[in-house]
Amino acid sequence: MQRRKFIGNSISALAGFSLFPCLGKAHRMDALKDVVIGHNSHQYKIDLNWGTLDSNIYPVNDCHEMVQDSKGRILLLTNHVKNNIIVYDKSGKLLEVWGTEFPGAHGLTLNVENEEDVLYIADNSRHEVIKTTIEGKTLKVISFPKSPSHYQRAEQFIPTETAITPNGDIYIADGYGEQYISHFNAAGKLINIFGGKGKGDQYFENAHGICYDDRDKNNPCLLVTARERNELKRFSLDGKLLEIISLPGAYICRPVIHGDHVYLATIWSRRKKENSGFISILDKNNKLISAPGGNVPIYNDGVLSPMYQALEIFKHPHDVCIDDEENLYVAQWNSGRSYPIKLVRV
Amino acid sequence: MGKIKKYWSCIYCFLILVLYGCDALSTQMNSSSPSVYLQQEAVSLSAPIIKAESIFFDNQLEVSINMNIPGVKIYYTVNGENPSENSTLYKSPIILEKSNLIKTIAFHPGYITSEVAQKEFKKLGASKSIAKVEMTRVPHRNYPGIGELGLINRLKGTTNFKTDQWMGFDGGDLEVVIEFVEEIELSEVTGSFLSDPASWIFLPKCISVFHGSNKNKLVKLGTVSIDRTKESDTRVFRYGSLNFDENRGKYLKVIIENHDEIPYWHPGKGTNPWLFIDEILFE
Repeated sequence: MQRRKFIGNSISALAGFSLFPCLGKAHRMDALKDVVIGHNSHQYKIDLNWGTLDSNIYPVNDCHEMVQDSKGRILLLTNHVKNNIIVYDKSGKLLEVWGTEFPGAHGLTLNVENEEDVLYIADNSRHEVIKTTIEGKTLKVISFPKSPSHYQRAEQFIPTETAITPNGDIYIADGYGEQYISHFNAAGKLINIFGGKGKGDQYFENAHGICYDDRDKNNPCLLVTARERNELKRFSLDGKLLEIISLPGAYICRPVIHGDHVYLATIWSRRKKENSGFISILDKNNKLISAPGGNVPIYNDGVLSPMYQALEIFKHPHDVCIDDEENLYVAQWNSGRSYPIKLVRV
Repeated sequence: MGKIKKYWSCIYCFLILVLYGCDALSTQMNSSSPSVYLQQEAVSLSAPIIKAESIFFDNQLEVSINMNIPGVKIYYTVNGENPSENSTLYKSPIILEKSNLIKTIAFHPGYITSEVAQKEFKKLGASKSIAKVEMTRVPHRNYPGIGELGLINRLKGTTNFKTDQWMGFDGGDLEVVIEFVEEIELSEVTGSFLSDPASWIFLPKCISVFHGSNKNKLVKLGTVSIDRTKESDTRVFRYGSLNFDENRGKYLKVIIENHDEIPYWHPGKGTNPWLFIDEILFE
């Protein structure tokens, strides 16, 4: 018998299938088992119904990134200019959409400034980072760093992500451009540029994601992904390389801190084979403890064995958002224009 | 009347239990919105990963197969047959002593069986000492590989054409001359190419092999044609091998003849096909 496979863009068809799996084969009740993915403390079931919308009315292209705002709403950033931002509640109900001016919508970072949520959208077609209110009103546009030794033209700057520190400093990762991390102060003045292209440890190949890591309150730092190298790099706030966290096999997109853990959508494994993604979760010591959709993480003498997709659940996870109930939302790039997938913590 | 209602609601509950399964029901009751969880029987295992230090080896080679999720069983064959649950169960690394095609598959009681993964390993004769490698053209500046010696270093590229082992040529033929330190006997010559039509990389038309002691008067040993890149190819290696009666000589010339145009089914039809080569092998 040809059993039907789960593929991201046919969730609704599959939901129907899953509702009545034992009609006509009631003797196989024991076969009805929920998929549980992940390892150790971080394991999840996969909610099939979450967030699917009518694609004629609310279309998505790539679902690039997601955040939860202070009201508990879940915001999705897509590069479809009919509705760049889609706002859901945690149950997956559509609340509102906005945004038609972000053709290269890629990075979405939420920051609370003067008790108001604001968003930083890295747009890699516009070569800009746009700061907006949570309702979508543009507050500020940041274009390429005015440092002639690093950038001569706006087009060289292809930002993928931003990180904001508590004092309002902005770090922008130029993940699809010159690979620099540009550091601006809250007033918009360029303070420092580090990273860039090169073979050494302090350089990047696809500096795709960045976040502010204050898990150690006394020593806040930056986490930056070097996706093509399967590495997460820890930098001081003034741009000195502190540590390299190697995740062999895992093409990690952006680090997301939640509690003591780092969550990373992993877009490919298996040497960039198509549809080979999974999710990586690191503990407070930056050790991989759970890989939903991936193989069992194993360390030998402190070195992680290569990671790879083990179950064909995700195609190309591009970001993961963790809500206040520890559930995950996975946004995917190039995955049949499918809506995000919710993982419910078990 | 009340009793009968209760009776019917019990039957109704039971029916729901049968239809939806306990997990699905408890989910529906606990969650604010009805949610249905993905079931194991709708999910496939990913294919096992076949790993070895190199695809080529001199004496023997250790090959491991990786697919680590609880409850999985990996089966494999080394004779080219498609693996099944009747094939050999993988327990520890396999030691190859001759050229083999390994095929493997993963089974799990809950999940859909994986696709078959396969990899071909080639045993070569003892290392032949090579004095010089010459090419009639230089590769495209963006894909220089590591130079001529990369062709005979027995390090295969991955299927990612951007890696160092691959040399890329923007259309046209390629001629390679290998000079050995002393005369050797050859019986097989193989070219290793990449087929990746999504990246506009196509297999060549054929390879011709010449061998002999006088560099200017080499003997043609034959030509072998190579199946054309298929529309369905996604980043695969392909070999073109010519076997011949043992022949003695100090110089080996391989002419790789490219197709003139990208085939009709490709968006780049009519333009130059890229040629990517990583190795020339001989036994």
